[in-house]
Amino acid sequence: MSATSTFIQIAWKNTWRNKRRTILTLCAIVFGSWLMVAGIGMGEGFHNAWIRNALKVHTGHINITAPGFRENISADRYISDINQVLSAIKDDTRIKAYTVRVKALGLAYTSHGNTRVIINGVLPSLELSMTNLTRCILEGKFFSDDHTNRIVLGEKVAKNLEVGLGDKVIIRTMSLQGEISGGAYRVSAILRTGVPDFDSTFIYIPISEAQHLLGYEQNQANEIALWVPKRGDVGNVRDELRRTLSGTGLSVEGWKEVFPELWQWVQMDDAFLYITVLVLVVIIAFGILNTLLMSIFERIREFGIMTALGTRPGYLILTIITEGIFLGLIGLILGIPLGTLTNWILSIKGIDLSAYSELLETFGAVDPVLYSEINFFSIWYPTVVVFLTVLLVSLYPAIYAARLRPTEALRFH
Amino acid sequence: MEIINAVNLVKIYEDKGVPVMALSDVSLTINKGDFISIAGPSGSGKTTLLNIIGGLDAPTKGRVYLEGEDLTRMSPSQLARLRLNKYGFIFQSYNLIPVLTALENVEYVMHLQGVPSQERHRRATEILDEVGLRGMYNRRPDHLSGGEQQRVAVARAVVAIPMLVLADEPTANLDSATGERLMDLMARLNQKRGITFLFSTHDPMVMDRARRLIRLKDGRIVGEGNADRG
Repeated sequence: MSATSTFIQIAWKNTWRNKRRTILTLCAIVFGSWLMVAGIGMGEGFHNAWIRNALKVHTGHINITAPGFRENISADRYISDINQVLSAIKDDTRIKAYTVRVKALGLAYTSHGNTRVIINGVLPSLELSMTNLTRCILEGKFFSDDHTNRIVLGEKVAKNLEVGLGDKVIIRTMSLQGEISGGAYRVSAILRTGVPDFDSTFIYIPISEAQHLLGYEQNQANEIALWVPKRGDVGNVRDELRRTLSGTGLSVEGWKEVFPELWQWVQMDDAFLYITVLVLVVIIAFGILNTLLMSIFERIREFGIMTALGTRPGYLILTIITEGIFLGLIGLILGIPLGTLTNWILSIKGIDLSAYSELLETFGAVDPVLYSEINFFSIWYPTVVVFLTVLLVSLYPAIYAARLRPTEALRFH
Repeated sequence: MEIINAVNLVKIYEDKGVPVMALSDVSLTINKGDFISIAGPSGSGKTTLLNIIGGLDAPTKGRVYLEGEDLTRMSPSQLARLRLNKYGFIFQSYNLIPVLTALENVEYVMHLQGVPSQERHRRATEILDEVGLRGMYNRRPDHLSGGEQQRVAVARAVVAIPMLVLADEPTANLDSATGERLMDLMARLNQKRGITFLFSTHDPMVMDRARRLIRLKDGRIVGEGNADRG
């Protein structure tokens, strides 16, 4: 056994010298790392659910439009050849669904009233495979690909127009040629997404009808939205498409650009999570620092003896840092599995937030039961943070002990 | 053969801003095989002198040579190496490492020296047997009496066969019979193994056992000679 292993042995024995104090410190580390793992898992799970839910209503993960279309919806900003875009995405297995939309501002009216709307011309087989609009249907049924003259309204649009299923709604908009165009449609479904702007302005009609209203040809549309389920793939797919479509002049944007409010909210929530983690780290740090300092002040005379016997200061530092590492390791060995178990349970059972459903509806048709996520980040991040914290807080007492002069330490009572 | 030569040692402490002369122009030589007692009342500078000779403290003035090497010019790490390889220390209040057993305490210094495991164990058990602690190898200090603890401390001090063992009032916390047995042990180790001992004391029994007695008073050597003439 080398001298190093002797000091590790001494450190282990010292760790258990005052069992009660060690157990109390371990409780703080276990509790802290448990909360960190569970907190990060829940945070990640909730974020992903909120992002997924919000993007599932309409936006998707990636939007391809004519430049400036998102800021200014106008008939003359259109994708002139959607097949060119579709051929660029068709073999990409990271893209699980897509939809093509013809979009325009317009006016909807009935004999009872009128309201400004955003017209969405869609092919239901594509639109409903990418979005969760089917879940948002309040009444009726979304029209199918072969239907014509059908319309699906947001709940508040229907309310403003005072229409119900089967009623007729007139739509008017400005065509590419600058002429007023319009058509009459029967209400086939009414949607409630929970997003106020959406429910009060969005209407869906068959894509062929919208193309006709705007004077577009069959291969012309305004927006192609893509669904890329793995968050880590979104940036890569976006960048690759930007390169592939660079000659077309089309704008390829990720959801963070299209839906900045959601991204800001996620970042804000992340900031709260990190503040919570920081508080936990401080609790753990003080717990360990307290234990180590108490233990060192109790042993100053002992360090004097060890130094007098010829122990190099480096070995004293090693001993004390090892004591800290033992505390950290034991705490993590207990805390990380507890946190992971909590995440696992919450990933199956979830947390029912239906009491706050109105608040959650801000971000779309949200499942009120939120599920935690077990991912590598929720394990390695607390492990690294706690371990580094332990190392850092062990350093001060270690250096303090190593710098003691043997004669002073030997006189210490 | 001279192993220690302390020349004109002066040590001045600051006590609440007031300078206190702990040693004043102390010179002394120690030869191999010596069994020396430094005697004097409390505050006479015995411990200070031992600490300076042992490289635990530096003099304000003066030099300490160990086999011709000047300790006062050495760095802390050089001094640590010197203490490890050349000195053995016995303290008044035993000062064993409480989390280690008697055997581990004795092996401690040899660990630092890098002595192989089997050799370490052989030497540690041999010396523990010699100091009368056979069968107590695995007892921790809190399960040993004061006398037993001090014997472990003696075993720890001599196991690596140091050039010089410095013992600061080794019998101060022991009853007279235990103290006498400890002195027997140290005398035996001195004679049998040729280990040089320098101990401080104000115990007349210890003074009587020394072959050379140096008397300190107020930081100065006031007398030196054989113990029986002390």
